Amino acid sequence: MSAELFLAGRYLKPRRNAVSLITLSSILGVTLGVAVLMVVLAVMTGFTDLMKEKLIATQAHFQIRGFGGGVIRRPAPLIDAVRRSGGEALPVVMGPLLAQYGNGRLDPRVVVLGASPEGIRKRLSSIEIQRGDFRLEGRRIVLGSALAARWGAQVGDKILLHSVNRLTRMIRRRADGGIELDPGASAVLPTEFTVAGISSVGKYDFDNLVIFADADDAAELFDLPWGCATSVFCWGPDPFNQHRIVGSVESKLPPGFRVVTWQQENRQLLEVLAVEKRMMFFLLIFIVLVAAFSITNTLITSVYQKTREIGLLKAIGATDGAVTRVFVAQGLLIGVIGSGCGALLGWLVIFFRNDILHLVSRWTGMSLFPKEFYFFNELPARIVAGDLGFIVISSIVLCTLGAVIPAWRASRISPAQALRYE
Amino acid sequence: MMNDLPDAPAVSAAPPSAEAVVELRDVSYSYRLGKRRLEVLRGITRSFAAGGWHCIFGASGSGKTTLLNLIGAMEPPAAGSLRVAGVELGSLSRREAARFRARRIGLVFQAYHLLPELSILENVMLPARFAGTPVRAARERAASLLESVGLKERMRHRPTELSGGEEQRAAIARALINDPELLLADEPTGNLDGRTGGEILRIFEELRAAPGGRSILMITHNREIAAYADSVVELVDGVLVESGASSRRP
Repeated sequence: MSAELFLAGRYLKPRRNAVSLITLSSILGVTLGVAVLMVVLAVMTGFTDLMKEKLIATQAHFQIRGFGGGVIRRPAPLIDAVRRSGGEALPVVMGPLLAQYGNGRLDPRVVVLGASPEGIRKRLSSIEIQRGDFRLEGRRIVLGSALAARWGAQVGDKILLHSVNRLTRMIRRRADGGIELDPGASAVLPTEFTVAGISSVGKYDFDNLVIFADADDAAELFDLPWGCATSVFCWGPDPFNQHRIVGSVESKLPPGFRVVTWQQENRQLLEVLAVEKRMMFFLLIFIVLVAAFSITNTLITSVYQKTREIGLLKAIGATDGAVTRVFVAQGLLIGVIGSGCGALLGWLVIFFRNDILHLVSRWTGMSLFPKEFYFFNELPARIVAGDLGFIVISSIVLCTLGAVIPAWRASRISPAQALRYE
Repeated sequence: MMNDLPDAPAVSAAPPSAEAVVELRDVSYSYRLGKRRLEVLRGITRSFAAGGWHCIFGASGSGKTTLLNLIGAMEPPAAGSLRVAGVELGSLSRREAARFRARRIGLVFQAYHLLPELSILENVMLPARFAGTPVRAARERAASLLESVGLKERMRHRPTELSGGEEQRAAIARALINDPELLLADEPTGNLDGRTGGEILRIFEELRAAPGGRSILMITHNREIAAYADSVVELVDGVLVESGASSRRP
């Protein structure tokens, strides 16, 4: 061990069996900063992971669509291209509808997802039938649990679905720019469906929006020929690493089609989550920055208190650089010890996070993460080695930099003057 | 107090070596005090022979410590030439001066200046570590020096657990760790009683008398202490005045 590092260690621990209170408070500041950073980033990561899991559980890994939202009249070649690339495919008819439920109340915020019931149940692995069944033939539909709760719908209820396409064909523009009923168009009746079941995929917005229907019924609602699709949902072996399969499928597609991955489909959400995480880091690193400033203050005080000792060190042969290193090493040691303790504290908090959360909920009487919105009973968290490394290295660097000014001051002390200092 | 001091040794009139360990030529030093410039040392010219025990005697405020600081390469002279152990100190950079202090000079202070955070052994090792000596070698040398000054049993203690005399003996061991050519002592017995001060002077005498005799330059305001040196010069208002050997010398 170098003399400078040895001296720095001794300055932090001036007595045989005790660390100085000033040292402890400096270390504590860094410890808290690192622990808070670690916990917040781990929870953010866990939350992002959970969001991705939910997205993947309720979506295809990638979709094949026609350019400009065109209808896929013959999905079979596309399905074949996917299978030859090692994936699985499910043609779906999907679009917005106007729903009429109860005593004529309207809901324009619904989407019908029409596909084979077996395909849906196989691919949406997290789907859970809460009431009724998932038989869709014979104009039966399955409602998402949040949607059913919003409507107060039960199994066996009748729901009217208005095709937006058909409704738009009932009107036309007049010459003066106004609108009127098209006298040539026939009146369009909604299609009546029976609620066969109520399901949940464990994702609030999905369960609040989607109605499952048979593919042919959905095609009829949108005035599409039987057997066609609005998109082909595809699943590969690894949703997080699908460059190869996507490339393979793209190379086999006929012209006029494109592949949209789940990441592209949810780009905005994923970017928001990533930005939030980065923002959290930059906001919370200020805790460590404040701790680093406290190290600066502590060491400036220490330099004044140790003026004669510094003079002595220089008198017996310590160079300016050696004195600088003694004080910079103190900042480094505080950073290393504080970061280490912070990482340990952070790990403990993450490990016992749910106990802590339940305790806080019990004390405050508040549910911090309402299950009806977040669909998890426990706070998600995942420690990413890269995040932890970045936090620890940033903290050590900040603490070391915090010691530079006092170290520089110490190095400029004249030994002769310092030894006269009282 | 004198009764507690050892008998002043009889020394030859001529210095042990004609070669000078310290050569001052027209050395001056001043500093600014508010709007006034204070002349502390004025045109000092003097040589101190290698291998001897020399003393600069003077009243408080006469400039003794300032002169010692210049000779110890802790401050550059404002004017003149100052050579110590053959090195012109005025031409040294801060880094070179630090290395010179580490390897060529040993310092003993009135207030001992041992670091309270370190054990006695670690205090003694420190200059060797700054001079680049490996830990094990520094520890062995420090332990040997502490044994030679009678502190073998105290080397694991902290300075606060030692008496003043023990602290000063440890400080002498620290000054000797890098085997310097010149030992500078600033009022080394100033904080000690007569008996303990005598022990310190006896150590200096042993150092001077050892084969290859180490050069010692001591400053003091006490004429009786000064008498133990081979040669004594007096500093009066920043000017050196020949004082000769002690009145106790034959």
